[in-house]
Amino acid sequence: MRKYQIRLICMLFITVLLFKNEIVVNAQSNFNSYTYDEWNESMAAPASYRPIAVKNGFQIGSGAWNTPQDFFMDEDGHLYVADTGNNRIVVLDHELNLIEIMETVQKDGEAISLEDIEGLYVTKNHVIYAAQTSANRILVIREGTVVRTIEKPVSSLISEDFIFSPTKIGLDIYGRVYVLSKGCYSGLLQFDVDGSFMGFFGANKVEVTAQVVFNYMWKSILSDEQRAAMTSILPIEYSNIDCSKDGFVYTSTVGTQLPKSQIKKLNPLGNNIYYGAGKSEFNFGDEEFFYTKGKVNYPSFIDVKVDGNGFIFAVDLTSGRIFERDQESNLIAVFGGTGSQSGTFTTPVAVEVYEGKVYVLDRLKNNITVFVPTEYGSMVERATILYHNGLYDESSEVWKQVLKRNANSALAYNGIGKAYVQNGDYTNALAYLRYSGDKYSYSKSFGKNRLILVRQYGPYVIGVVAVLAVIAAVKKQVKKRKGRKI
Amino acid sequence: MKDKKTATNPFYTIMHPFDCSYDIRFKNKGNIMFSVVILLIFFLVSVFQRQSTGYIFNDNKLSDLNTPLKFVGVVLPFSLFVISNWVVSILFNGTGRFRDIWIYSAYCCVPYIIGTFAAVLFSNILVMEEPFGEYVRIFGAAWSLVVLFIGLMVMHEYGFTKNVFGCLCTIFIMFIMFFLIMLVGSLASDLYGFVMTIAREIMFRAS
Repeated sequence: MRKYQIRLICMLFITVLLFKNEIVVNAQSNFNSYTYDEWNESMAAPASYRPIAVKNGFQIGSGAWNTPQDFFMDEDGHLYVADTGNNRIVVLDHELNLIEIMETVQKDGEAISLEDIEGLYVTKNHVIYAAQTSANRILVIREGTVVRTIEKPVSSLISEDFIFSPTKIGLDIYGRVYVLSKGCYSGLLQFDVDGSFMGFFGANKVEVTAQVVFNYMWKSILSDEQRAAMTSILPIEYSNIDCSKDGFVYTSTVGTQLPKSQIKKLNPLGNNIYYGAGKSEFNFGDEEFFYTKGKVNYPSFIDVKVDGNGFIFAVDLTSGRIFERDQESNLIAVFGGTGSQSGTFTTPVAVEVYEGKVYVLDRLKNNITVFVPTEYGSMVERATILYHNGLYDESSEVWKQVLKRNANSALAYNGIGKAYVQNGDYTNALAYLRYSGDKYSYSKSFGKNRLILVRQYGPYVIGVVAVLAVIAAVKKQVKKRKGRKI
Repeated sequence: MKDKKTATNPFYTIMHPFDCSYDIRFKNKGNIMFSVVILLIFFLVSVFQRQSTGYIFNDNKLSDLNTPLKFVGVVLPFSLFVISNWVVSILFNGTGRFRDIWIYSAYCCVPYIIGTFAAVLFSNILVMEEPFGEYVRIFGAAWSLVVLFIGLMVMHEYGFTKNVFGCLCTIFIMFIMFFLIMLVGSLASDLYGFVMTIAREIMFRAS
């Protein structure tokens, strides 16, 4: 037995020596990776992203940060971190090296400190829009000088007692400014290029829960005074904004009663156009919830970011996970989690994407985590991009590679199946679509396949039936005649 | 000879509910064995429906099959119905005996079983836009209910309105019994937990 073991160890050793260059050791990540199957049950999946760097203020060289509330990555890969507690903006490059620390800016000839910056946006020309929440204004900073401010707009739409406390800012491709103001339930404030107020944009709707229905019922009975004493039902505020390159505004929502449509894609009319299959509302985050003290912990998304390929990244404060979905609401990746190891967070507040890398800012840990896609993760993304561009055959090849790494990937089955449908190979298409959970596509190709089968074998079946009918008729006639004779 | 065949033949029953119900009650022509066989087939078909309905119409996770649960799902409602109908018939001077109600109710399941079976077969050749199989199943269910209603009316020698009232009461009592079963079940599990806790405590103390 012992001899056997020694031999085995030697063999393993030799194998390792021989294939040394080909063995890539991938340490297990500190968080669970999974996908959801057809029945919304989680299934293990390979990790799609892995953390490559975790850096705090000390490691970067700017001194410790204090509750940073937001950061923004501009198109040149400069990362602007709003170090809110220290009243400054720290500028980093995309490898997290320190470029600049902004502590004061010039305004009307005098230096003012950057107090209480909760939201940032930086344009192509390095013009910084900084939301000074407690000062109720937005500073527009160009090269260290405040060129203008956006303050509480004067409009018939806005009441006297409205408090303008901007938290997050987004600029769309036309230069219009979308501002999220604390305690404002009417939606985003929309400003024109010249800074004039245009109106409110895309308010969240009130969710119909049991309590809402109950309140509505009571309010129809009660008097005005009693009604005024009741809690008023307000829609939930947005938590963050992101403007994509194709001109849509994406919003995230924190703490809802129902976890549907927490990530919205607003068209220029302010209507949500981000839906699941068959125009249904869906959970952007987890399908399986966890409970604390008998209460469900629904996901609450604190930030959303869309990359150049239309992949939507959103950070869930509840589970500390980052969910990535494509424009058709397919779950591409789940990574991160709560904890203290690398790749996990305590209070994530913001997410940014630059050249495939995902940056996550943690408010309590005061650090930034950088994730890169793994081989598997980048493969799924590549296949999805090919698929959305209509290159079904090319994407099918990549999906097959994905399937070798994750046999649970419904997306891969769907991609391959659709490629077969494209080529008219319905038998193979059905075999793959069977596992994709996409009943609609399965039904379509099943119908096509059925038609082919009927056309192929239908004539023979009809022929055989006709022959049998003729034989039966003849036999009957023969019997009749025989009977007559007797 | 032909007369004897009628009541033991479920296919004849579903076509002639008046005659058969009368025969079962007043000529003792029901067959217990037959009713049990029908219930067994009902159970098998319900499993078949869960597992073999075409992928397009099947939302079940095939690997999660729980046959005992399916068995209970068939036998429990059936038994509840028969028991509560019998109870109601005693209260309202119905003439049907427990045995007759049981046999006749089992016979009445046949159209539904056939409809379900056909629906499963259809679901394997139809696509999403053609829910024909579902119609067949609903038709079968409706047939079963109509036949059941007529049969009970004849068996208990009720009028139409009295039978409607009796059926409503039956459903009501079914719910009550179901509620009691749930209650007893949860209490029993609580009691089990209590006894187990005490036993464990004693074991800890003793050792």
